[in-house]
Order: sequence, then structure tokens, then C-alpha cells
Amino acid sequence: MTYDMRRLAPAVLACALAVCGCTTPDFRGTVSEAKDAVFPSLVYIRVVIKDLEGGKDEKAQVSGSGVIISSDGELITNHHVVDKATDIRCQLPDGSSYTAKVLGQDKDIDIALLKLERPDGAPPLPAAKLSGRRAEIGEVVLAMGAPWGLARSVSMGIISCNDRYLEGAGKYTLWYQTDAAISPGNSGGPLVDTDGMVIGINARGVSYGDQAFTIPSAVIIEALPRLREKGVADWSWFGLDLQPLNDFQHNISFKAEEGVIVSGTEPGSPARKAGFMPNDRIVSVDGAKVTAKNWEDLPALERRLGRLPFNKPVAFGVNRDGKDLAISVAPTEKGKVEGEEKAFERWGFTAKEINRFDVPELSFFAPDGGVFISAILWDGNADNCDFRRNDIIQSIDGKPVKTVEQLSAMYDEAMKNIETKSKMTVDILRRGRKTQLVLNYLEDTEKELP
Amino acid sequence: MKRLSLSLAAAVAACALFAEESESAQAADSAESPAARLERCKRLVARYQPSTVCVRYEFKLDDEGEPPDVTVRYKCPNCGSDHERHAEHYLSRNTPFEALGYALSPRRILLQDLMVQPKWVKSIEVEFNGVKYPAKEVLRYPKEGGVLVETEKPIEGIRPLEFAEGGVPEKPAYFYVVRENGLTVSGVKGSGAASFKHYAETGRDFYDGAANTLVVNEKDEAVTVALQSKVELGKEQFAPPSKWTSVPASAFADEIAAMERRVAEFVVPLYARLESESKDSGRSYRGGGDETYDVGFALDGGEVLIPANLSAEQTARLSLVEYTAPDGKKTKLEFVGSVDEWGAFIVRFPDGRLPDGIRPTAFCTMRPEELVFGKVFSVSIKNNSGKLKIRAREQVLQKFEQSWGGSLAPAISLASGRSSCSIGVAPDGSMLAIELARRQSTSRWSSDSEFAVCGPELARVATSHTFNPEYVPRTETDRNRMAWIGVEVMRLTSEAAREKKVTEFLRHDSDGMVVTKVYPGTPAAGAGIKEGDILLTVRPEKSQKAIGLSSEGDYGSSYSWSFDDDDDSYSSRYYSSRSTPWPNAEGGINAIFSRLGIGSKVVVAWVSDRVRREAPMTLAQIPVHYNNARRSRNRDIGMTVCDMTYEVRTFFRFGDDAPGVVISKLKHGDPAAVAGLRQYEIITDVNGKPVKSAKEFGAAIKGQKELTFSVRRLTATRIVRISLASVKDDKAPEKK
Repeated sequence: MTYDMRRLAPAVLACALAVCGCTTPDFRGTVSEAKDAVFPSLVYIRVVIKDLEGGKDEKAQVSGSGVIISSDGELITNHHVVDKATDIRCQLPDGSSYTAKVLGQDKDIDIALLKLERPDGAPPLPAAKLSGRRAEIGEVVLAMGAPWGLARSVSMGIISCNDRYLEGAGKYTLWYQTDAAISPGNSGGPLVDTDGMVIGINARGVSYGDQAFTIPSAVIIEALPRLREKGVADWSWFGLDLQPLNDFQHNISFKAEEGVIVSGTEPGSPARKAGFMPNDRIVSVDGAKVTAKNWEDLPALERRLGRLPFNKPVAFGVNRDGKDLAISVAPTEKGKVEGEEKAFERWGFTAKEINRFDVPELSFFAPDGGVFISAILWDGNADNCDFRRNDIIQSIDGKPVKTVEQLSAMYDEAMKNIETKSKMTVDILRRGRKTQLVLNYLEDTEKELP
Repeated sequence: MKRLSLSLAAAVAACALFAEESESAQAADSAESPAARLERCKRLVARYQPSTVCVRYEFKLDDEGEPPDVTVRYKCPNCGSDHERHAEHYLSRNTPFEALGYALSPRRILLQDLMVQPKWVKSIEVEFNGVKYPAKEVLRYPKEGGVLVETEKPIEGIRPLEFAEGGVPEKPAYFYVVRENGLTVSGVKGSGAASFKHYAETGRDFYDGAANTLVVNEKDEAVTVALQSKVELGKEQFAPPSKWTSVPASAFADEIAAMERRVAEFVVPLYARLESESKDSGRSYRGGGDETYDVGFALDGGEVLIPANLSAEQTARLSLVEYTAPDGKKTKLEFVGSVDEWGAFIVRFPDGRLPDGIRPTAFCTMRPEELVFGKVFSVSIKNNSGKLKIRAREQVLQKFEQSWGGSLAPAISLASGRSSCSIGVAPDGSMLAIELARRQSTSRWSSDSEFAVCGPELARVATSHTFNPEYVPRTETDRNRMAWIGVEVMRLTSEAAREKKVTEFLRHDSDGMVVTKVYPGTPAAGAGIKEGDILLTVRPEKSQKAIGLSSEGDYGSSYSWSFDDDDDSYSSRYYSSRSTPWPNAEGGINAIFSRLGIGSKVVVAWVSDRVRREAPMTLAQIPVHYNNARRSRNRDIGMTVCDMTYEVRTFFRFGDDAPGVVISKLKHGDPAAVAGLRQYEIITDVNGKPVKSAKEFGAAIKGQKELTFSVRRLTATRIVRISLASVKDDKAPEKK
């Protein structure tokens, strides 16, 4: 693979040059300049993360890319690159390397702000500039990063679509889609326009595809101050589920020119308490008209609502069955979007608290929260006793379990008494059905031979 | 002459082989060296080859076009033991069956009786030294299983066998000749004194050799001909054939016909019908359709035993058992009960009297020792559209075998198939054995195995009236009205049973169901069953037998809520066949209760707080559930919705009054499917109005051109709009 990548890269470039050369005489210079503007700020990131996905507390290494945005060493990358990181090392194209710490991160927009740890008075670093403008379809762009861990790689393509709505990939982001070669390891790296500005951060690909998706810089610029100051993006939460006036794919049309449809409200949310009903059409927010004609119009609106201050009433103009009415709702803090997680090695599973934003299906069956098995240790005790991923643990030996902390205390107790007791009865909820299993943890499945 | 030399060469080769084999097997018994054995074999071939002939039976169809109902035995030249073949094998290949015959005189040849009736015999001929002589059967030896054929002309050059006097030899050996594919192979073999055995079960001594062989003594003198592999050491049998008792061969056909007539007296031709199956039951009556012609056996009191292994579900669908008299008069028989442990059921003529000409079956009371080495009959009975076809076959009963529960069953080859039944009959015309399926009480998953059931047990089965209350016919309404006690359960794992210390209450580790929900106002709630209790058994009040409430059916459902938008690629049958997210109300223990029927008085046993409890309950009717809930189908949008029944509401955490209907079926490519609606999603509102039932839903969409549905999929909600030219008023099909 390495061999192929090295060989193919010049060929692709040559091809692109041959096609584009006739229309842009100085194309080579333009690309080169753009590259030079950002390339010194490109960061190759190696991360050691806490890995609970194997059902036990392990460490794993991942790698990604980043870009320095301030001369004192701030850099941005993806949240998923540094998620659960215990150690972050960064290498610059000149070969210098530093450790880094996380200043702030947000799972919803998949962005993390890091700072390189350098001695006081260290010389300023080359910083790339973010451009909040919306890139045009067809614009030539460069992707920089470390595909497959190959640091300092540059590839080129165009903006294939500049307003891609991706269902289930963060409701605040309207993505750029590009055909520039982007592979695992490119995550967190910059997408650069021919002016040498960072127009976005590469984050996602399609499986078996040649298209990749980039978070536009506008979304990042908007979030940066809060990430820097509070460490989180701090979204407001109304609990409104919105859908646009038209859904071409499903041939759904609401025959209205303006507004956005309330498809439902989340249980216990401010919106539900305020009396929003499914099929309400929101036409204005604090007096300003809002419209989402298609899915592509929703992320901007979601961002706008998410940016409104907590606990301050917002006036919604609503049309219900042709009648106008006003609903006032004060959003609350969205808070955590993922629950606490901990591995219980002797039991052979990782447990995680149910968070409605993280695992909505499980929160349906456990509306008051709870703990579920997020990973099973292969051939561990839970595995051998028929426990499964996504089983909701309701109680152990009759004692209810609601938090990982409670479970952790039970685990410590169980380990203390392991000589006398090595079995427990666990009430679980699996796909909405109650089941009772017995966990036999007599065997130390991870014991290493002397 | 050329042929003979070839056969002798082959004989020598075979001798060498067997000599070696015998050496290793019977070293202790045989003082002979291999070379000496080979010499002996050569001597025997030279001495007895001139006394053996080939007898050819050519078969034909009888006047009714029936193929011969005969199984013949032949000695396999490869393994040396006897194999069986149906006579049809020879008929279909247009080759004769070749048997070995021993010359007793220049015209009379002794051979194993094929028990074939004259109507199926085209010709018999004897071949010796390449010359063929037409022959016919003249005498039978019923006890020895032999037949004597006589040629029209004396056989030239034949040397009739001479038998030594002096009784049973100490170390018998047997000499045999096998013909196969035109080759003749002969050899000598024997276990010496070890050939004599004793039947502990029947108290008989016998010689255990090989069928169709010549038994010789130490001096190579012929002692007797063994026509069966086991020969009783009686006064007659282990002696020269001249001492055997014979009967004229001409009586054979009459004897068979007489037996067939005797059997006909207690066989009742019946027509049985099962109601059409419910959609999910794949099994049918004896592997055929929903109606069948069957046979029963008359019992006292106008009762008839039908040896058909119906499952409880099939019995529930049994709607008619009818007898047609020779004069065409039809009589409907009433159901009496299903035999508890065997796959058979009993019906009764309405007036308690058997029709004229039919008498109750006599069950054989003869002891094994009275029957073994004697003549018995294997009788196959077919019911072709009400017309009985009974075929008897004679055979010498060679042994008894261990059957169910250690009982002894006669080793008769019984064949059974659709609309037919095969029984063993003793010489006195009483029923000796029948093959019945043993109902599995231990596991509901494994299939029933068949065992030959013989006389005494048969009599018990037929008369004891120990019936299984689960196996009874029901009306269609009853079949669709499921019974319950009002609980939802899950399987108790064996590990959990041990942990809960309840194994002592369980018959098997897998028995027992843990109660996960008790519905208020139900028998279970009334009896004080609570969540976490373990159900053990249910026993009909009038029965001694408790039925284990073990797992059956739908507990490992793997419904997944995450599927893609493009799943139109699956056929719509996939959607109707897959299991529901919620537990199927008709599966599990409710299926067991339903077989006992609504209103049945039962005693339920369960474990609560490690104490075994019992309480009488009256089985109640399950509330309307997903499978039989009212549905409303709309063809224009291609969607069927269904009332949200109790178990669906429990699963989705919907209150009793919360509005909503559940989508039960969608048609690919129709507007509802295009709009992204999916099976098991819930529609709560139509055009802004809550819908509480399929009926309301049907009314709400009637005549509307714009439809707006509020749809729920677990936590996610959305609004779906469908525009139509017009939605016609579809009649909502109501499920039975």
C-alpha cells in the first residue's frame, strides 16, 4: 500500500495539471503557494487513548492530523482523534515534536482545540488561517494530513458539494464534500483553498467510497471561543425535533413557503413542557423569520438555536393548524452527550451510563437513565454467561443499578469478597425484554501465566 | 465345464480368506491350521458341489397389477452375511432371483421359503450343470422356513445329499455356496461349539449360524440344512429334512388369504380431516395434506384406535373422523382421547357399537418363548379412498428385541407410510405388534421416535384410557381463542436456577419460567403470583399428569430496530415472517395453556421465595393481541395498521389510553413505504387528530387527499405527509 501511494500521488497530480493547465496558466504556482501557506502548520498527532471497547481497561494508539491556528501553539483537530486520550504527541513538518493538552472539545461538531506544551518564551510557530467563507462547488482544494499514518501528505481535489446534509452525523454541521484523497489518519487535518486558507477540517469518509466530508471552518470559528474559555461548546437544549418543509427522498411536502416543522419533542424537554406539539410549524424565533425548506437548511437553524443563552426565554412564532400562536421556551444546558464509562475486567464487560444523545434506543427502554453494557470482553466471564452488548443492567442481586459509580462500588465489594462469593444474579433488559442472567466470575480470565 | 472350473478356483480363493479369518476369530476353538482348513474346504466343495443347484424365481405382477409383496434374503458375496431385498428389485430389472437349492432326490430340491404367493410367481426353474429344469413348489416346512420344489424331469448327474445320523454334532461348521452375477463362490465357516446359544428371554437353545447353509459335522458329513440363521435345537429342526414336518405348498395361498380375512375383521377404514392450518404451522397430518384416509383398529365399546402420531396442534385441528359402511352409509365418530404416551388416538362409534362384521381386536397374549422360531405374519393395511387393501406376509420369527422401557418386541419388519399401517399378527390372528411413535415428554424440540409396541402394552394403550389433555380437537373459534393465566415470562437459565437454589423443584435444568410481568385482574394475579416467581407446571384438575411449563417458541427474538432506508430489497414475505419486537402472545407457555383450553380448571405450581406453591386456577382468555387484533388496510397508500394491543403497549410503554396504531404491513413502492414508514412504527396522529384504533385510523384517512401522520420509532418522532388524488374507502378486513 505504501508503495502504491507513493507512486500514484505524482501521477494524480500530473493528471490534474494536464487537465487544468490550459485554463489556469500559473496553476502550478497557485497550488504551490497554497501548500506553502498551510503546510508548515500541519501537525501529525499520535495519541494514546483509554480503550474500553474490548471490555477491559486497555490502552490503544491512534493517529490523526491537526493544524496550528495560533503562533503560541493552539491547534485544532477532530474530537474523535483525541477522545479519551491519555497522552498526545504532535510532530511538525520540520521534525520538532511536542506533547499537547486538550483545551476544549465538542462531540457534536467533532472538533477539539489543543495546545502544544512548549517552554515559556519559545519562538512563535507558523499559524494557518481559518476562512469562514463558504467554498464554491468546483473549487480546487488541497487536503493535508497523515493518511494511513503517512505524515506530511498532501492530496488535491475539488469541492464536490458545499452543502451536504449527513443524517446522524451531527445536527449542527452542513458538510463540505470533496473528492480529494482522504483516508483514515487524515482526520483533523486541514482542507485548504488556493488562497492558502483553511476552509475546513477533514473528518469523515464513506466506506468503500472516494468521497470525504469536511467540517466547514465557519462552524469551527463559531465554536472556538467557547471551547477555549469553557472547554465545551455549550449548546443550548430545547428538546425540539425539527424537520424541513420538504423531504424529496420520502416524497413529503408540507405545502408551506416558510417555517420549519416540529416533528416531535423529547421527553422531559423544555419544548415539551412549553406545549410544543408535533406538526407545529415554527415561523419565527425571537421575531426573526426562520425557514427550513430542505434538510440542508436545518444545521444552520439548529446552530442558531443551540447558540441561544440558557434559561433565557425565547419567543417562538408558531403556526398550528393554520392558527398563529406564540410559545415561549427557555432552553437549558444540553450538557453531556455521552455517559460515564468504566471497564470491569473480572466481570468481563464495560459499562456505560445511558445518555439520551448517545444511545437513544436504550434511553427509550430506560427513560430514567441507567447503565448498559457497552462492550464485552471476548471469552470473558460475561461473554461466557450470555451477556450481550447493549444489555441494560437493571439490578444486581436485587440491588438497583443506576450509575457507573454504584456499579463500581459493587465491583470493588465483589472483588473484596471473591473468595467467598463469585456469582451474581443480574436483571437485564435486552431489546425491551426483561431477562435474568447469572454472572459467574470465579475464573480470572485475564490472568497471565507466570 | 469351463464355468465350473472357474467357480472352483473362486471357491478356493474364498476358502483361503475365510480360513484366515476363522483362525484369528476362533483360535481357541479350532485346532486346525489354515492349510488344513483350506484342504477341508476343497474337500467339501468336491463333495457337496454336485448336490447344490441354482433355483430361479421369476416374479410377475398379480392380476390386480400389484407387485410382489415379498422380501428376499440373499447372501452377500462381499461380506458373507445376509441382506434383504424387495422382490420389486428383481421385477424392475427383469432378472430372476437366484436361490441356492439342495438336492434331496433327483427331482426334489430344498431351499429357503421366499413366502411368495403363487400369484406373483411367473416361473420357477432349477439349473444344474448348465441345464434348466422347470419346477414347482410342492411342500413347505413352516417351522424351518423351507420349501421343496420338484422338477418335471429328474436332474441329470445330480448327487442327492446324504445326511449323517447321530444328532447334533459337537463342533458344527457350515458349508455354503453363493451365486451372484453368474459367479459361484463357496466356503466353509463355523464357530464350532460356540455356535450353540441359549435364549435367556425365551428359554430356548438354538444354533446360530448362517441362513441357507449346509451344516456339517467334524467328519464333514451333512447333518442338516439351516434355512434360517438361527435354528432351534429341537427334536425335528436340527435333523435331516426327512424328519421335518411338512404341509402341502398349495395350502399357502389359502392360509395367507385366511389371515388377510381375519385381519379385515378388526380393521376399520376411516376418513379423517384436519381443518386448514393457521399460517405459521408448517406441519401436516402424516406429511400429507389436510385430509386423509386412515385405518383404525376396533376395540371394545365401539371404540377405534388410530395409530396416527398427531401433534397437539394437529389434534386441535382434527375436525372429522368418519366411517363409510360397505353400503355407503357414513358414520361420524366422536373423539375419545389421545393416548398419553404413544402417538395414537381413540375415537368411538356414536352408539358405542362397532358396525356389523367388525369385531374388537384381540391383542396377543402369547409369551415370547411360545412365539420365537414360529410362524408369524406381517400384515400391511392400506386405505385407498376408503377401500381396504390388506396384504399378509408370513415369516419365521427369529428373535425378540428390546424396545421402549426394556420391553420385548418381536423382530418383525413392519413398514408404514401414508394412509397405510403395518402390524404383526400371531398365528392365532391376534395383534402381536404395531409401530407407534413415542411421544417425547422430555423435550419438545426433538422429534418422536418410533417403537414397536407389542401385545400387553398394546392392550394397555387401547384400554387404559390414560389420555393427554393437551391433545384434543378444538373448534376453529377455540383454536383462535388463546388461553393464559396472565403473565409474561422469560426462560430460567440453568445457572440462574442453581443460583436461585430452585433446581430441586425442576425436573430438568431447562424447566421453569421466570415471571417478568403479572397482568392485573388475571388468574395469576388472583393466585398471588408475582414478578420473579418461577412457574413450574400446570396440571389439569382431573389429570394426574403435570405438564412442564418449559420454554417453547419465541424467546430469543432478535428484532433489530436499525435497518436502512433501502431495505425494499428484502421481499415483503421477509417482513411478515420475522418475529415481532414484543413477545408473541401465542407462543411460549400460552400455547400450552391454550391446548388445555379456556375455562379449564387447572392447578399451577410455582416457586415463590424458594417455597413451592400450588393454586387452582381457571384458564382465562388472552385479551386481543397483535396476531388477532383488528387491522385496517389501505390499498392506496399500501399500508396496514393494527390496534395497539396489551403486549404492544407494554413493550412500547404506552398507557392504556395513549393514542396510536402500529404499522403491521407495508407494500414496497407504495406511498407509505416511499414516505419512509416502516413496520412496527407507531402512528399516533392523523391530520392532527389522535387515532386510538385501526378503525379510527381507517375513518380518519377516508376520503382525505392530504395525510399527515405523527410517527414514532422508539424515541424518535417525525411527521410524514402523503399526498394522494384520493384515498378510497377500503373495507377494513377483520381478522378472525
